[in-house]
Amino acid sequence: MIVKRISLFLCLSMFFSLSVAEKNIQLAKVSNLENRYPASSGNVISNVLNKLETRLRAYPKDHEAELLKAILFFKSGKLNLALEELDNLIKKVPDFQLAYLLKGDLLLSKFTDTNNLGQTTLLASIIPKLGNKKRQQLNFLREEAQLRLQALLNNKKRKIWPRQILALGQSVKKALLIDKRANRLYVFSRKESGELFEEINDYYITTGKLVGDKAVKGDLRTPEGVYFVTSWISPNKLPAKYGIGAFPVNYPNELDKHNGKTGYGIWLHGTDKGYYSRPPRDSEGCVVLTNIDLEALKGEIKPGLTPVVITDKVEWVDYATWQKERKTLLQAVEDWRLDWESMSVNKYLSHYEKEFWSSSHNLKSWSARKRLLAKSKTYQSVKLSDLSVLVYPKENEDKKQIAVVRLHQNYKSNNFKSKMYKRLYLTKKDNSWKILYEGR
Amino acid sequence: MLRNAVWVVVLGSFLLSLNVAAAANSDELAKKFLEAQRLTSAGEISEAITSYQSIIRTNPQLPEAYNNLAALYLKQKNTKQAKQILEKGLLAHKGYAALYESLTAINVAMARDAYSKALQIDLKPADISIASLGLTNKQPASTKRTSVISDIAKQKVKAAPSSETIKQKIVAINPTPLATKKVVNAAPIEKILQAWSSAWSAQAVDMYLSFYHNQYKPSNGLSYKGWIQSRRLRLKKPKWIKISLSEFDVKQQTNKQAIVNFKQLYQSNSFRDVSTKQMVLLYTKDGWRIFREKSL
Repeated sequence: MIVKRISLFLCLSMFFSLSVAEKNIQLAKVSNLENRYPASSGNVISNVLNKLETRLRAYPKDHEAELLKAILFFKSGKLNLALEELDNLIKKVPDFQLAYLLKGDLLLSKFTDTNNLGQTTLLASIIPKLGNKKRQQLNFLREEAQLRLQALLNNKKRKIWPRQILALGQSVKKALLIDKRANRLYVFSRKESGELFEEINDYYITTGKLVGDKAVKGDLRTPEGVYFVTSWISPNKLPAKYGIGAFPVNYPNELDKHNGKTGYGIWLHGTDKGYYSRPPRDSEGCVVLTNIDLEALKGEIKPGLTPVVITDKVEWVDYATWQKERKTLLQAVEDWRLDWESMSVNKYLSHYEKEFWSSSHNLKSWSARKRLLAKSKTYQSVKLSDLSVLVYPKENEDKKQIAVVRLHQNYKSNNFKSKMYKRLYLTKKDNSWKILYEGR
Repeated sequence: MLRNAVWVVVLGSFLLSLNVAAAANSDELAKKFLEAQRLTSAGEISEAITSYQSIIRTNPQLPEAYNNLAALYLKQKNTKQAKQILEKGLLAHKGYAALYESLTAINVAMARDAYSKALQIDLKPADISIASLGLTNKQPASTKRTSVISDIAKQKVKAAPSSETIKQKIVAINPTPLATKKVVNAAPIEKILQAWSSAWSAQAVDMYLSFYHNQYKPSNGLSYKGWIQSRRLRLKKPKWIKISLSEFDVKQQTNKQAIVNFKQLYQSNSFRDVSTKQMVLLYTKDGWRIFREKSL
């Protein structure tokens, strides 16, 4: 009997030691795995396996977790367990192409070198006869495997608080957070206490064919920013390629329109029949989930309410940093409210940024109107509730920092009353947040 | 087709035991083997290597020798040579070589099938057939190896991972069949108890009971008959049972009797329990049998 005790992560990184690099893939991190997971032992394997078991308990249809279990078994020499896991998986999800690729490698592993996924001599002898399209398909599968595995490994190491989601109103409950570079969708929930927590399961997704922020119609990119789901389109109204249905989001949002961005039809949707998943970068800008995952998430997504924050790369921070950002932004909104109530128009207007706009005003006309209105007031009260605070990723120093606050506003004065939901876009100027846009 | 393969495997293991049993008659071989093992445990690795090499020269069909030699090469971090010697061991025995080749052919066919699904291509299913073997082949296999194995070997593009990055461990196999009279001490009590636990896990009552001495005395005061009855019920009742044994500690062992402690993990659909057990085994004409069993 041969028992292989293999330094797991060393081995996993070898698994993808890449000649995949034919295309525009971000592989840099992989070569670092070695440093980040120093040659260690069975302990690490069982920790990761436990984590996968936890995922499966929370979400029994987490087929990715099953695939990853098979990879771990495979790479730690437990070939029979790996094969058993894969066969069960294939029975449940007969269109999971990646599972078949792994199975092929596994079957040959006793006889030939299988350090690199999808590079056995047998496959190498088949592929040339099939042409470029199939060669590319193979590369896509390898990328998919790598991204799924990398997400698992990174999740263990990264900080857990997302700078992108600082508060969720009590009517909102859930928010979706997308990392395009990691091809991952995370779900955050609101606790009764108002604190946030991250759901155990996160999901592999497909994004736009090209890397980068969307700017114009047809550029095959997935937009980056703070969006909200607007509706649900059931599959009977859609072509088959959208799978079990679609949740459109409000791209282009107020800021996108203001910045002259064009295009439409950015949706979260399912996968065509006959495919379990799609390659990492394969859509025209939409975010694609597997049908099984979308079905599981469907009940959590509320049109008109659920925020979808799309980033190139999520900013994960520690709890202290997250709390500080959260307090700063909530305080900025509270100061605005207090100064509004205080009846001092100058103080109130000091919260607005020079480039402020709304649906029918710029700062100048807005100020003039507010000054005029103020003259008729003897008393006003502003109550805010149900606040959600979402933050654009900070990409570079010269780009504006933007936060979006959705809130309920209850306004009363001696001559006027109104209740409404509002959206504020704020930007950071000289270390304080100013209102850039205000609207319903 | 798969059923055929299973038959070939069964046939193969039969051939092997015949072969080793024949070899076991040689006292000299047993002595050489023990000497090689002694050298290994004394840490005299290169001497041990020489001695296994010499065993292989005179008994080219003894799989244990190839296995243990490969383990030594690995100790020297020589993965490549370890692999070569294992492959040589497989090919040296005609029955094993045939099995290996058949198994390779089947795995390649299954892998082709999996790949065709992965890439959604229409590959013609590979033609596999397994030649039937006679029982007369006692001479070493011819050096001319055929199709699949050599194909795969030839196509090999990348070198095996270096020994620094992969720590492999080959469990040294005790030459069980050699342990008839003189070398009782090498008899693997642990192996027998593992087999006992497998029978228990498989809920194969008769096989499980066959590990017990006919004068076994149950520790709970039951009569032998009453005990058998209660075991039949207990083993059959759960939907599934899984027994894992570990931490074997042979307290005492002579040619006639062994006392061993071990840890037992019992799991079933309804129950889970870890206990430390002590067993007394007696050596009978049929091999080791459980004579006493108690939880510590």
